[in-house]
Amino acid sequence: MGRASSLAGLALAATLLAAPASAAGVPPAVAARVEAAAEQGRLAPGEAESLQRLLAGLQAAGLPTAPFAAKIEEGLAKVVPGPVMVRALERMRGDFVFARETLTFDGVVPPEAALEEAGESLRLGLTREELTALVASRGPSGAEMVARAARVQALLAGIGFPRQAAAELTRTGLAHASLSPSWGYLSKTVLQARERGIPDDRVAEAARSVLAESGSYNDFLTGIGFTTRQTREKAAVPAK
Amino acid sequence: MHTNGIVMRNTRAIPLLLLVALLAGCAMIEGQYYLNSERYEDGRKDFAPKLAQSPNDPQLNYYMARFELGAERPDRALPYIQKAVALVPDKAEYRFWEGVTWWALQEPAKERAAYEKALVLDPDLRGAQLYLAHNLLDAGDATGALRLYDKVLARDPYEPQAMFNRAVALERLGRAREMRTALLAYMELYPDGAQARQGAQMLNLAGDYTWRNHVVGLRTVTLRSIDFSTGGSTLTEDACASLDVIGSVMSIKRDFGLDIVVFVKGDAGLARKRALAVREYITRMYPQVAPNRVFLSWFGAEEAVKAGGKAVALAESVNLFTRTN
Repeated sequence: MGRASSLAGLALAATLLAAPASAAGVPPAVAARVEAAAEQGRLAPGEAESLQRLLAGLQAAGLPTAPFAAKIEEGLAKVVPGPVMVRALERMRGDFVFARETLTFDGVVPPEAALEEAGESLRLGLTREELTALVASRGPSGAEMVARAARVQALLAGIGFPRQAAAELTRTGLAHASLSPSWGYLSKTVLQARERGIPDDRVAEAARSVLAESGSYNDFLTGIGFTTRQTREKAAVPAK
Repeated sequence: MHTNGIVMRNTRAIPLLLLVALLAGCAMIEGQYYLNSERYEDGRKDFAPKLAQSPNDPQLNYYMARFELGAERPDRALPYIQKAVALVPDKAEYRFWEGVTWWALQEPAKERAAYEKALVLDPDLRGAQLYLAHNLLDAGDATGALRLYDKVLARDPYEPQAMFNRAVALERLGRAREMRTALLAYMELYPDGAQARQGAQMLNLAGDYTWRNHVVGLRTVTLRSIDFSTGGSTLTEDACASLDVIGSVMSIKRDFGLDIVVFVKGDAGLARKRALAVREYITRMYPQVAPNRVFLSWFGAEEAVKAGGKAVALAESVNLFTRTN
């Protein structure tokens, strides 16, 4: 075991020398964690190599490294078997490559944050067809808003919100460029609404109609009978 | 002359003091400037290096939180406001904004705890009273919310959020008559926006059609009902004010027409006269609205409307809706 571990460490060191992950924007701590996992025998040499190679190639492919690094950290912390980790990371890379290609429109490459959001949405269960449909119906919205729509739709799907209704409201938000960041919390509002006995179809209709009128998230909350707060209050000290 | 000299010297001193404050990096003045001008991104960019240099400055942390909240990023605001609170635990305003941040993150229990702490530190902090009331109302405690709204309104009788949500609390407590009175008072002062739309729905649901929502072009507008002199076809002053809203919109947006549908139970002739009076008013006051954009219908019958799934019959009414050309 000890001999196998040190051999794994040597193999990994060779990989790192050939393509230093840190030079490719990979956080050194993550590269070191993979290396340590290989040395401890947690990862087979081939698995560690696959992960390092995947990490090292992200930047060249125009993909963000942070979500992949976080996923590896999570896998190592949860003691996920090596082959499962490698498969999951490769699938994730596939999703991110698809997201990057799909969100590149009008000759503009999407900002990293948008790419992360769209890639994560695919990982959360949004289908590639749904992401493609969002881009096709983007109207005047840019990649950031399309990515937000993707996340909203993925989170709604995750809580069993009717898929068709979710797609309709995100499409409306994109058509009117009205899907501001606060809509990212829609799935949480849906859960609270359910607790108060407000059915999903009423929430969906209220959201769709506010988005169609380019209204605010607060308008939507008022429409379903929730109170609102003023997060842009100018006063430094609230009225006394 | 002497007084003027002092005024002159002071007037000159104000920009100088501001400049000194800015040069000295007075976080409050700068932070407030960015908040007032709604330049949240600029504020964040300006404050980030300062915060890196002085990570334990409570004001810098507070303003960073406010900028992130303003930019609708409560997840990023949270660590800053929590740090501000940790650095100055007895500052009620920081606790208040921590509560607002928790609200934006949709964590109602944590939001409530923050307002409660703020109110322990400063029982008169009206913002915390108001938002704690909102929190209680959303949690189903309409009685607790009502008590706090009354407290806020005792000091500021026209606070719109308190006025509106007090009516909501009354509705949830089944006190329909008081709700109606409270809501009508609110609608008189604040007839626009999402709360007015909601207010009109609540009134209609309670059988009061003083206000109604109408789809005009792409928007839903809340208007006082179109009334006439008793038994006649002379528009009331309030009715004219409602038609002014329609006329203004139609003057600017010319891609839709207006349907005017008048109901008078048992008197189709009067219904017709009223329909003509509405068209005459709009086209006379707003000459940009051509008469052929206004379509009239009239019925000597009740208008059947639905509110909350229930059918209601209105003996005399005017319904307005738009059609795209």
